[in-house]
Amino acid sequence: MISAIETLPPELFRSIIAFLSPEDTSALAQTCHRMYIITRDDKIWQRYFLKRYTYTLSFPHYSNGEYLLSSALKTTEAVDGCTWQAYFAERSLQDKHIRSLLNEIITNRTNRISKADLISSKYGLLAFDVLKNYFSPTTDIFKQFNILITTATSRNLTREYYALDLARFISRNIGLTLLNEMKNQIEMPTEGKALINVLFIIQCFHPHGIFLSLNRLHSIGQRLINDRLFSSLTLHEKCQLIITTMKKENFLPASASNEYYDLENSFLFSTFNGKPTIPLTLVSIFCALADECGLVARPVGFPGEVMAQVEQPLDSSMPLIISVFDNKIMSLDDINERLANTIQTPLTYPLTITPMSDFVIRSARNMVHSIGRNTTSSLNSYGLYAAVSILKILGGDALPFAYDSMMNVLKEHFPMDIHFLEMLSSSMTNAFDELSQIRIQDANPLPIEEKRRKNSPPKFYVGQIFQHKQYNYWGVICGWDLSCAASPIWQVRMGIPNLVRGALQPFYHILADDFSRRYVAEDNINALAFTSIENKQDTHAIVEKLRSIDGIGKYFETVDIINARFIPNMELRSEYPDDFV
Amino acid sequence: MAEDKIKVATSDGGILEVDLYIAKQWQPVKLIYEVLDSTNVPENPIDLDAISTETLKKIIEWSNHHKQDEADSADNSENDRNHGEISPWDKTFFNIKQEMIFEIIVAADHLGMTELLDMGCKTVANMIKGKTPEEVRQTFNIPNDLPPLQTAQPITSNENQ
Repeated sequence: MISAIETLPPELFRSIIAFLSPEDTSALAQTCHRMYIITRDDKIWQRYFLKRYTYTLSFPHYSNGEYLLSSALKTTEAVDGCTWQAYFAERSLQDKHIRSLLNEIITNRTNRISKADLISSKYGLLAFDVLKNYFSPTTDIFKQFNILITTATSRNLTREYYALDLARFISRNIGLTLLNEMKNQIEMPTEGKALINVLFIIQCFHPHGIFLSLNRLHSIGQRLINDRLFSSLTLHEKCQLIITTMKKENFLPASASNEYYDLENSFLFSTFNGKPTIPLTLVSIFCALADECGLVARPVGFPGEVMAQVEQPLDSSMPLIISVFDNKIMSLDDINERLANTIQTPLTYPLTITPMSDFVIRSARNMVHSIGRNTTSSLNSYGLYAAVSILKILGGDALPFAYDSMMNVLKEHFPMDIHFLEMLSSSMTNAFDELSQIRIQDANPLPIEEKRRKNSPPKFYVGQIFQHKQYNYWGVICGWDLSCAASPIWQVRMGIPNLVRGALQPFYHILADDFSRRYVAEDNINALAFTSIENKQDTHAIVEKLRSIDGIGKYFETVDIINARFIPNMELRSEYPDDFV
Repeated sequence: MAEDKIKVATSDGGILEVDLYIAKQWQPVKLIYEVLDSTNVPENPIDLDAISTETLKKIIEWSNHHKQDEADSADNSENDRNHGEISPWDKTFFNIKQEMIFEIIVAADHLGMTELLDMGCKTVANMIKGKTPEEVRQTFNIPNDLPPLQTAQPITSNENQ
């Protein structure tokens, strides 16, 4: 006896399966022999695979012909004679493993670092296809992935936090590996996409990491070449057109000195989001676009300046030198005039080719300089990490800051990056002991010290939303001490002795709506402010702002808007067991 | 012009009168009109073999209801195809015997009615979604002819082998 459904011809089954998830199709496959055969159509599984997975390699290959990461993105063939179905099944198993490791990291303090290491080394980029499903809808990364937004109520901030943290960790590891690869390369090409690929390696250390796509440059290039008039232009005109196009695409030169020395300029992310930038970056984009248009361009480094050198097809001994930053074609005299104060003898053709490692080190120096100029930027820890990685791996200058203060920053902001810290301290044996301590504690974490509410408990509790009485910013409490635990120097600087109760009152660790972390005296906290706001839109705006703080998920799981509080996650609850009732 | 009707013959010998406007959306009918190149109603009923009278009646019912939709969404059809939820009316429409749903799907495919085909397939897909293999078998009365290996759950680690 054949059931009604089995009378459907196979082609029509494909139409039905088109509306099923891979899991449903697997269930269907197990119902009977005929379904088993029908669902083995590999085209079905190819579709499922390409829909679910963006990355196909755990680690990108470096090649000058394409943008870094192109090698790891979608392929059109399944690997090595494997069927798409088997390939999909294998990835699903890997997904499961990654997901279970992620959950363990979230719920269990033991072996967090080694589990993170495992995901990074075993799966690399492949893990992103799992992690991206857990990112917060407010991050820029999220928008690039076009994921369907789940309802706001089901957001688990802690899971979002760890997923993003892991993704950044993997991203940094890939950056480190690529830097090491660079070091071992004897001869690196310098033209075309070379420089922008190198800047991309630096981008791996940015909080938005590897998710930046450089393919936009390819589309721009295609548009240029496909214009019928392009091939009839002279070399001068083509270069001019590229520069004009760059301006139209919002790749602009930075102006005022604050803008110029901004740490963001060392990362491609800001440039690709329209922030005006420095010559180094502009030249990298110019050379990539020139390459897309069939020209041969390479960056040339001068003291305080980077320009692009474009080969003349019929006379490569007289290349065009272009200052992309101020849109000027430079003659040799122009260059020598500009550099008169910084070089001994005037330059002559042919100009010496600047190796790629020089540009990376130059970028590291830029970052160090930027950090020094603006010590409060939240990007500084990432910049420090990148600069230190470059200088340590590729040589160049001695490490820029005092060893101890560097290590403190890095240990605080990047607790999972033990490998990296070990590499940094490889020449210092006492530091090594400290780091093995961290590893030991990872395997056997000390129990969390509980902070209980006994006599004279603090007025406010963890998770409460408040407004600062003096400075009027909004914040959420993520911890407290019964009296001020900061150093006397800090207390004097912050005017603590001027408070009515001075240092002998509860002090609260807080996250503020300007994305900073602060330590606030109880006298300065107004917890009624939030509940007294009538306008729902206003309260929602405040909550959204606080919820979008990078790192909020480290402490809290969700928000309870009605009661004006964030709900602490398990770890925070263990530390403050009496605060959450 | 809405008055124009055409006769079609079904697989079980029935003859139905259909609005020309609706019939002309059907592939076999379209083909005939293109071949004959005439705007006149043909004398003999057009043979729609493989589609039973009952099925065709249901299809005409659907077409009548969606007449307005066809005109409205002619431009949006590309985007709506895969994102279209099943409308309440369509849900009721498909609340029929399984065998009829499948016949409608086959017929819609034969007649080139992509939207009806999509709705039908989606309906069946919804009957499969979220179910275990055994539940799917029960829903559709599928006899289990798979050898034990293919129906087994993954072997758990505490089995003695």
